[in-house]
Amino acid sequence: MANLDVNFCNVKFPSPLVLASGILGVTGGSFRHSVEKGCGGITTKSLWKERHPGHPNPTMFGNEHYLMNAVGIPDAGITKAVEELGEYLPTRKAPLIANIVGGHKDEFVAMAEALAELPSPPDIVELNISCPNVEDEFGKPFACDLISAADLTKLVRAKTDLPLAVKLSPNVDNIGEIAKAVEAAGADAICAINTVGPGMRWNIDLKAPMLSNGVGGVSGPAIFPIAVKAVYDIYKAVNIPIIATGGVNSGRDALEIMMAGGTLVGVGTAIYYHGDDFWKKATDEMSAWLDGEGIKNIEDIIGLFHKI
Amino acid sequence: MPCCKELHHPLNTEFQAFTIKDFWEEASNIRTFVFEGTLGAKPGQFCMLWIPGVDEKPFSIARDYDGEIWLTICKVGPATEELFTLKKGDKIGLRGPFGQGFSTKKKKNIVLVGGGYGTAPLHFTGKAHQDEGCDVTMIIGARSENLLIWTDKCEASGFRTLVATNDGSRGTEGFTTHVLEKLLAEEKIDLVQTCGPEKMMKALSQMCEEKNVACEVSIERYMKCGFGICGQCVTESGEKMCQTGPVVPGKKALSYPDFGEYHRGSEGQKISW
Repeated sequence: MANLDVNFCNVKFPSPLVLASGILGVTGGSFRHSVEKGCGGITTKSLWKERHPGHPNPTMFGNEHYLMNAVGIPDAGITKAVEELGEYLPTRKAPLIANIVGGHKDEFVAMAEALAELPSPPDIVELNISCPNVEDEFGKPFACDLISAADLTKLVRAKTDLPLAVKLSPNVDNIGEIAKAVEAAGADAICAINTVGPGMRWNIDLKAPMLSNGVGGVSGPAIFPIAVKAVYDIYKAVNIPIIATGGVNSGRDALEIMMAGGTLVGVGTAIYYHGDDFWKKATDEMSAWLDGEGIKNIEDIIGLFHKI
Repeated sequence: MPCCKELHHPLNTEFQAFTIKDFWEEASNIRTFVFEGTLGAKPGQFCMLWIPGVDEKPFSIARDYDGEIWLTICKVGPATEELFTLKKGDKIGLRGPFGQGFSTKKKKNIVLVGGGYGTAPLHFTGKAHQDEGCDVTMIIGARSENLLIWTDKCEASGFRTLVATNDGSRGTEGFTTHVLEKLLAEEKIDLVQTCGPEKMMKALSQMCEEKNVACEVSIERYMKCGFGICGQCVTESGEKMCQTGPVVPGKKALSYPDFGEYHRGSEGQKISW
């Protein structure tokens, strides 16, 4: 049996498949359940310093090709985060990546500091700078501007010793350059990609947009090719590891995006398509393929496409 | 009805438009809406109802047969207030059915217990039991007589219908638990199924557990997506109530630390029942 352990920022993950931010990551009970089902690590939903209400429903829908969402990152704020993570972290069976978000830079810093002060802090902090709800002073997500992304990374870097990952947006024409700037600003890892778009869908009978927000991010199998290309480009541009995320829907998809450059693989919408059994099914599929190829350690395939 | 059901993939959770065919008052602020068509729902399952430009909310399904979907809805907030202004012929969106419904048994003695507007899905459940040759007893509880719903339809369908009101204005004075306790002492009951306030369902589950009687409860949690990815409806044990539930065995529910204690709001915060 191939060894699926992955070392990511000096944290050992029992499998490269991790729950991506925004899926099921609301409560400790939910985290434990996903780990029991075989996921190698958890990313929390984006945590805010202050209470954040999010958008009214409908906030998401799916079909056989993709999902769309405009949830608006609802969260009860730092008190709930500290309580929930404070209970969960000391007994965790797999690493936890705390995804944080803010309306302006100070909020990111405050969240990172609060998490670092927990008696049992998270293993990694991930900055969500790529949600359409998170804007810099010019109304753009931080992740769409090289200087904003780097500045924010530098500020948070100065305030925490925890490994720092930065989640990037695919909705740019220079994701490799942005990754490079973020790396230079002190990031330990990149997470890519966030949702594509925004996109828009309407119900023709009701003559209304399908999401209350009007537009929303596109995820799911349809964006997998975009994710593979982004991860490939980032791997070429930087020396720090990547959490490869975006439409992974099978064990084979996970292997492919690792060969494009991912060390960890974020899984989100696959839970919509396959339920919680995805973790075991995908892990088995990966193991069987590696065994068939005679590969003993999954880490050996990271970035393989760049060596051909 | 959507015209192209054959093109509608099972993994599609986009809304379909449905037309309001009729509606009537069940009690003050409680109205049953009839929509033309079907979702193919089983008793105890739920659907999401969307009023474009307003909101989308989950509702248990009060009937889905004979080409009609019934939803019995209590006016509790902005979305339902808006819904109560709609007229016959107006269109809304529905998606579903979602989750696990109540189980049905053949030729058994079944007791259904509804508290308040939790009674809504139980007539549909009772009809399914009747089709299997079961005897159906319906216990309906409310604070007062004017808040009782579905009693007439249950009686008309031939269910033995027992009523409890907190103020004694109709039936037994007290709670549905008092009525069930008496029944459990007097006769052999094969299955108790309940929908209503969670503290009531917890008490009923404990009672059934002590008497070794099978029990199923319908757990209400904040359902945001309805299809198992948002995580808002997950119990402390990690189970998604939109998929594993809303109907779960009472024994299982009793193992959830949050059952009858608290649920979570739209931002994941704990709210006591």
